[in-house]
Amino acid sequence: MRISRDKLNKLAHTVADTLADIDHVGFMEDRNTIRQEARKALENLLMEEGRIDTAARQKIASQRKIILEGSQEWEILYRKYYNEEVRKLGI
Amino acid sequence: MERWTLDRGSFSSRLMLCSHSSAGFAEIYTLGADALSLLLTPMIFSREYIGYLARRTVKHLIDAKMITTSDLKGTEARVTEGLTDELSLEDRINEEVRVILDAYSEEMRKSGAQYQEMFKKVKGELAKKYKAVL
Repeated sequence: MRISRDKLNKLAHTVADTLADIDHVGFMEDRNTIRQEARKALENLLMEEGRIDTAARQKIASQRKIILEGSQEWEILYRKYYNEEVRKLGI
Repeated sequence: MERWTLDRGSFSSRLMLCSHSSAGFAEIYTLGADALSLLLTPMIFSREYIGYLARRTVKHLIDAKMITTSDLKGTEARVTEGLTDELSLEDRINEEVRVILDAYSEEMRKSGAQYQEMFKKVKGELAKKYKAVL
């Protein structure tokens, strides 16, 4: 996962707080339980995203020439391969 | 060395793309506008991916019978907005650091201060000020 545990918790708080602010959303559980469940969902999704990141990095590493991370060529290829992987999720 | 400077719309900073070799130039030139638009997306995740995160999280909560909603699209949009705000916080802080350091660039040059060190220091201060989780 490419974000910290603290950031993951913050995102779960954001989801729970945002949902609580929406009039047409009904809570069937208390806000803390919903926050914890949102955290679980986000964690699983972000683990999946971590695999996309790894796949994109591996594709760059498998190129014939060495492409240094941080170079513009690396960044461009990373985005290209990353987006190819993301598209496989049907986004 | 080829050098481009691109204005980033309403943002005050500029993105500079530097090419150190003709091969690098060819790569960027071939990828063209797509590559440039990708480079102009600074967040760790793309907006499309954040939308996906929001949709999947909302679906998960509905399937787990934790929430109900009479407007699924509206709910997804609001959660996407919230997550985007949170995930772009670091970029907004970085932007503010650049503006501050730009204003003090002459003093920094005279005192021999390292840009990267100053960047880290000011960023840390701003993160504390905004109580941001980075």
